[in-house]
Amino acid sequence: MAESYIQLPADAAGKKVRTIQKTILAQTVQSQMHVRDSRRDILGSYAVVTPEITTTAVTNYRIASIWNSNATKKIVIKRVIVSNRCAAASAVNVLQLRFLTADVTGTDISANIAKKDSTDPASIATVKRTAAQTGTLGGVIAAYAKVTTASGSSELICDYNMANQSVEEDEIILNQNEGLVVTKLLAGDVDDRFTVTFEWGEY
Amino acid sequence: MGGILIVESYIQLPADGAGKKVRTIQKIIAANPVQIEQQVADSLLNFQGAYTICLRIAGSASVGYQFLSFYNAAGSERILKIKGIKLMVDIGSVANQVLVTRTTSLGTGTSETAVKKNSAYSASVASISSVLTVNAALDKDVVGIAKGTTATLRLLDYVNWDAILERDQLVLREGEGIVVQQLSAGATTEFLSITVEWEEYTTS
Repeated sequence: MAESYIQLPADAAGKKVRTIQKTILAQTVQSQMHVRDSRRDILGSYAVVTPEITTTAVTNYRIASIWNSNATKKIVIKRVIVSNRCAAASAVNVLQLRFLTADVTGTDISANIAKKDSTDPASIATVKRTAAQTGTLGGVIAAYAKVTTASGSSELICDYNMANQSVEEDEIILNQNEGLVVTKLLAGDVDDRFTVTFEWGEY
Repeated sequence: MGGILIVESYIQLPADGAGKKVRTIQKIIAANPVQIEQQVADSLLNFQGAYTICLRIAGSASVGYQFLSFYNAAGSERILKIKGIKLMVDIGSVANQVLVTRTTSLGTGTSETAVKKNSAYSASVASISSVLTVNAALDKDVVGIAKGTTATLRLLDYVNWDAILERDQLVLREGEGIVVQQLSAGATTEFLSITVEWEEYTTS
């Protein structure tokens, strides 16, 4: 590997491309500046936080979900943060991020959706919580351990951050009538208090 | 079924001209000297400065107590983008939910000063109050985290500066802010360490 350059024709009279100028090995060289664009036409970016969620002791309990019913816009999941505190001694568990193929019937908290930029349009997502075993589960995206069990203890269970993916194809996309849900795999017990944050874009 | 076949190749340009020089790295690949352009990442908006603030703030027995209010006042002529928020508890004793919430005003409390990440940057326009006596006007929550009774615990490293697309970052325009608050009553003996890192840009 060697430092080098390409020498262009002399500047013309048209538009100007922004560069940083440096002198490297006695040569005045230009490094072009660039801004990362999305392969998608992103129309808005959003976040929502659930209240503390108390579940019942059943398997595959749907803790919180995001659903796309829109025919023209898609949702790209950027981040899912799940944490928990044990209101009393609580069993270990496995939390899963899964696709939904039919929406749940839990408590709708879509009114709590925040725009990341106040100039963005209103979100088309439907966000629900505390949905027991309703809806239809699809494939499992990822699984995380809920480790702490002592009364009063808390933990960050997952920070599933897809906003830093260098290749956008790696992100989770929700087309029309598709969703993502945070579930607990095992029945566990009723003493967990889950908090879920979803972040996403729409295009 | 085979995979995608990738073939090393190159584009051969006209011979160098007499104008400016575009910086490259030269490598020898398959016996060919090839040029790889060197680039510098830029921001969508006109960058003015990068700042941080890190405070250790005592808790409160008040429901909805706001530890920190961070605000971009009307007339600042800047747009702020939140790059990271770190939350850590020490001498913790009371279970709670800690929330980062958008606001439409600045809360009243102890005035705090932003730290420049480079002394050459201009002063931050952010208004920052801690230990609030009058709460900021709340909008929607943007981040939430459970807090147990554990004495010392890292609650969350909310890192956003590695977001590939700036659209994924939280934007504070004039008249907008955030607070770090607790959902339920806490304790005056607890401390929450809060770090907020952000960048500022001109609005045009």
